[in-house]
Amino acid sequence: MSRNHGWSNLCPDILRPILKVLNSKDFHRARTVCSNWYSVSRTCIPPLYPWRILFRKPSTLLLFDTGEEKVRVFEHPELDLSENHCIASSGSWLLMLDRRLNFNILNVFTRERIDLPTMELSFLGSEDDIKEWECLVGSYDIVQSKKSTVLWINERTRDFVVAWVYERNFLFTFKKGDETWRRSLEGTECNYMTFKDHKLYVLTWDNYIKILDLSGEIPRESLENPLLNHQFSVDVRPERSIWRKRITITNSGEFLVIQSSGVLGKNFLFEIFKMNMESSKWERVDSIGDEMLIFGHGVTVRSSVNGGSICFVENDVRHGRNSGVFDLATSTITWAKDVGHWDATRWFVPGYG
Amino acid sequence: MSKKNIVLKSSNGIIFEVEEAVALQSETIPYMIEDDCANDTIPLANVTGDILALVIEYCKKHVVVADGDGGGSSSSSQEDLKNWDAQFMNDLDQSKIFNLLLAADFLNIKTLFDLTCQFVADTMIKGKSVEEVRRTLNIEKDYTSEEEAKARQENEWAFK
Repeated sequence: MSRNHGWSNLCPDILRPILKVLNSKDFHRARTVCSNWYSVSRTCIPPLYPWRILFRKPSTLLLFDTGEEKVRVFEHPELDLSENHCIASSGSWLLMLDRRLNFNILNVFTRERIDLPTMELSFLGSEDDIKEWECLVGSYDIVQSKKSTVLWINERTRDFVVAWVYERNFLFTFKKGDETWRRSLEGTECNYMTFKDHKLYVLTWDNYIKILDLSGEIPRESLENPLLNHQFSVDVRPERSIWRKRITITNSGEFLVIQSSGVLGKNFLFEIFKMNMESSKWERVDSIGDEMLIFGHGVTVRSSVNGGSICFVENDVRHGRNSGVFDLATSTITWAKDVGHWDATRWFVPGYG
Repeated sequence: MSKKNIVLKSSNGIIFEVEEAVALQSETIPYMIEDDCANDTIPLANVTGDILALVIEYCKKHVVVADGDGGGSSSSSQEDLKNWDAQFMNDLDQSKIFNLLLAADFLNIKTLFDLTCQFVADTMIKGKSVEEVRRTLNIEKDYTSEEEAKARQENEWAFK
């Protein structure tokens, strides 16, 4: 066993399973122990668990670590939460937007900030567009925009992608290294989006799925899209009305549509659908295995604690008053612990990306 | 009918004779039998006698014995086994645990390997600071402070 001298030099096949059973916090500490552990750790997908972030004006972020049931307070003196709204997140990073439509990406823990260039008027093209744009600033519904905004960031390389839809018709993307925002999929009305492996998945207003490939210099619509001709449609049961809809790509690359429904006289329910390629039908799935899904985040993560469940915030469900976790197998809800007053809340997953 | 026995020989020449069912919890041993690398004795050049004794103790405890009805049933209840596993691991010092981990990997005994990994994670890494892990496992910091800071910065939240 000459290849294994001491704990530091354990071969990857032995070290990896040890790292894999650590919780995400221990994992990230352990990987910095020595250079071999660090390089082996880069070949593992770390276990993750969701935290809640509570925004309290004027500039306080309360982070609720659900693993340790502890609240940590982070002051961000440079951040004015009455002007800035969090509209997306990825790993430890938040995408913030103010009423002048200035975007920046903020690291919750380190306060590192990446400012994105301002939106140029010229992007919008015609004069009518410019008029519309001028009206927009001030009247833009930031809260509503959450459903059509995507942030993805790689915590190590700081590569990032932001995608944002204004008034259905204007899809803008910006990725690290770009000089300006780019407009794509002209003529498409975009509704929901998610991003994985250099591809932006868009569910259009008429429920078709388009894929925008962002791996090259210029975004282009990908024609390698098995879902291209499979419009999303499922039977709507009369007693049930759809409250919120989101899309997600799982770790294994499956495209899912998730709906939260208001059931008359009952509690709310989440339903997940995927395309059955053989029958060409959208079918309901009962399980997402040991993956965890955050409603609205657009990706699933392998979770050490919340496998097979959906994390949601109060607006994701009808008459919701608090955040919670919905267990798909049992259809039960675990409500989030009350940690006092806040102005906005969301789930986030440190270590993802 | 007499049960078939298998003879294992440790790297330092110690001989163990065990029932086939005990030895076959290792997924490596069947290949060695097939390869005919020994008709009577299987030499395990990577495992010392004291560690092989531990492995055999574990395998004996975990052997699934066929009962009278022909179905398989574990020789102990799940709960008992769990307690036994915990005690088994607790009695070992760090160097034994290290070598047991390597032996479980080499002999490909999945349950023992998983048990050892979990024990290492729980008792030597979990809840400890980076410095404490290094001290516990006698690991030298082998990169510069800048490199360490950079690695740490990737997941600053884990250090809060």
